[in-house]
Amino acid sequence: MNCSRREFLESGLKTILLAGLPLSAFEILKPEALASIMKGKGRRWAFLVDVTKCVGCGMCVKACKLENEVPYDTKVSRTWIERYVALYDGRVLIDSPMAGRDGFPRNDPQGQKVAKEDIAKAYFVPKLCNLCQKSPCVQVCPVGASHYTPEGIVLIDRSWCIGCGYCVMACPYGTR
Amino acid sequence: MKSHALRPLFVVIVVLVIILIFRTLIVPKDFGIHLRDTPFGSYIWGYYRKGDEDYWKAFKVKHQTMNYCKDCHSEQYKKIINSKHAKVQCENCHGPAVDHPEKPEKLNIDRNRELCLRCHAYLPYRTAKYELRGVPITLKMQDPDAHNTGIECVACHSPHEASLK
Repeated sequence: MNCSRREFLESGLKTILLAGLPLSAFEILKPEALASIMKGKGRRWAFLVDVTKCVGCGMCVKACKLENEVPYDTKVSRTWIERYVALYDGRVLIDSPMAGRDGFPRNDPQGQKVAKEDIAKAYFVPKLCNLCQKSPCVQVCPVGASHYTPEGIVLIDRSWCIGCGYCVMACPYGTR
Repeated sequence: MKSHALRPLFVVIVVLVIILIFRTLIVPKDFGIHLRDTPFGSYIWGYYRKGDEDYWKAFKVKHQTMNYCKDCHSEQYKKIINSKHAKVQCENCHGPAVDHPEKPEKLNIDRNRELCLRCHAYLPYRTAKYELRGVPITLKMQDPDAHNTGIECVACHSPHEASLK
């Protein structure tokens, strides 16, 4: 094999430059990224919750129950709010009374009184359907009842669903 | 040619043809792979009945939001959008409107203390700083067991103005 000094230096330099390319430069080669560049147009809707602003009022849980006619006085709900209270002594109190339907009007996580000085940190985590970009509930549906719209919303075809419950199992957030 | 294998093969073919005919009759015309012009135009993501989109577009939700209330109840609407309760929806206290002027004729107002306490009960970890129209505001919190127990909040406070009466 012939390789002059010039050729060796040139190809060496190219190799170094290529190796320096970060992996993210190849992100564009992903099928969905390519597709969005080649035929992507229009708007894709998403659903976001700013958890730093959540006061745990529980109105989303109540509204979900009223809107979808979920039995009001049962503990079942696929939209719920969890309260996390981490104490300095290492305990973490997590509760969601009635799925957070009535909010959190008392400072009594798991029925315990906690003093303000003992709380290391505490916050509310509302758990609702995230309308995932690659939604497992859409992927697993054997009959195509769980589906996207062109705007990116995840819907269920009520007349087409066979009630197999795969989507319930598939949801990583437990909100289906 | 005569073979014992041909007869059952014939039966299988007939059954297949019947199934295929039945399938074309029972599967709706708009069922198939959609979303071709999005990254989701595949068997996995775009496989559904297109007509379902129109079903949900036409579906009447029970919670109608403030926009539904503002024309008839403009006085109250103006009050609340200029108050610190601007982002609180009418239906949070008045209940879902559904087909309000007709059904139900009158909405049940929730005047319970517990409704206000969802946000205004004092918790050391409740977020208290918010922004409204670019101005920082504070969420006022009270200890429900110390602050005028047994009296409805609306006896002294006006929820539409977010202030004392």
